[in-house]
Amino acid sequence: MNLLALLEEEDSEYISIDDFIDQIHKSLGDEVSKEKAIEAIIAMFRAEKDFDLPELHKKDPMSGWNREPTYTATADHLVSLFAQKKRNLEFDDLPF
Amino acid sequence: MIYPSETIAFKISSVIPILRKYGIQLDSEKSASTDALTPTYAKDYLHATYIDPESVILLLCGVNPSHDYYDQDGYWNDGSPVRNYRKYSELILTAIDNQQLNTVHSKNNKINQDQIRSWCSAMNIYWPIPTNGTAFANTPLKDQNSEIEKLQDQLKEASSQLKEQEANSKFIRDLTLERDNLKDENLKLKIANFDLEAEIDDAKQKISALERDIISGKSRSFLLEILGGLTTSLLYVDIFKSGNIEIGKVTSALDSVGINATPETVSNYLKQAAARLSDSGKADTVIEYLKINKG
Repeated sequence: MNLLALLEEEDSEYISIDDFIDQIHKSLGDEVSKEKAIEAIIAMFRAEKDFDLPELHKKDPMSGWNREPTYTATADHLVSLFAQKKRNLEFDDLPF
Repeated sequence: MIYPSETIAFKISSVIPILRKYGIQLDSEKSASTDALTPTYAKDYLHATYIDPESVILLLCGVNPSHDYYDQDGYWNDGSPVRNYRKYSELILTAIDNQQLNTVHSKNNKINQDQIRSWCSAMNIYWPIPTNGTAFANTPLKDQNSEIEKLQDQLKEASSQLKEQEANSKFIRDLTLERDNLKDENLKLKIANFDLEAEIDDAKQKISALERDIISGKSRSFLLEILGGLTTSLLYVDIFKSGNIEIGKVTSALDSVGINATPETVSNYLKQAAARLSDSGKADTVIEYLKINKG
């Protein structure tokens, strides 16, 4: 195995929040806006009752992937995170 | 994908159970290994061919069967119930009773994982351990049915288009056949036309030849007068005499210079010569000449 493959393998188990939003957006179709896709993600996490909500992980330059200690896997935290992503998106769309 | 430092991310395996409820598959799953797609709580069973029913129930609940905090019979060791345990316990035990799932006696009454996976797929239940290339097999059944309906519609449309194309193809084949027949017919007509043109040319040549032999108009009248004049003045034959005229003198004279003519032909022309001389008013002069000179 080469070094790059080792790095790719380390990352293959994870999906960044931005990629997650993009891929959900893609699966919903082009006719759905990205903001709408984020709203759908928020609704999905709010409605989840059967499975544990996903934990957030952060890639540290020294130790690699670690559970993000400042977040707990709760609907409130996830909703807050994605709501912030949606606000950033709307802010980026402003014409100034 | 290689992520830079400080990237915040989910473990793919932790979001798959939730996404599967909505029939969503991430593009990232396609490049991830089976191990990466298996949630942490199920990793111990990744390569298990047979799994005991209790563990199957807990895996369906999203719980690691060897979890330190799990007590037994669907309760954590603090006495709280495991989420959805009763529901999945009921389903699995019923499936075993109905022989939809078979416990294998020689394997300590465990169930084959492939059978569990198939059963879960049929029941629209998320099974956390995918096989290579079948990670998307847990798509909700209603989505699969919807996909099947779409495919059936497409099949109907394709079948309809095929029929239309077959009809068009038959029309083109018939048209081509008709065109070929017309080509053959046209060729036959062209050949017939050539034959007719050849016949016309031949007929024209014959007419031309006949026209060369025919003497008509003033020339004919004058020649008849000459014939009558010579016959009477040189041979002294009275061509105006009705009945038996002296045809033999004329045929003999013609024989002597190598012209063979029947008496009937000679008689016919002499009669025409007499008629011509009468018409032109010269008959009396000729008759007078004969009276004087024909002994």
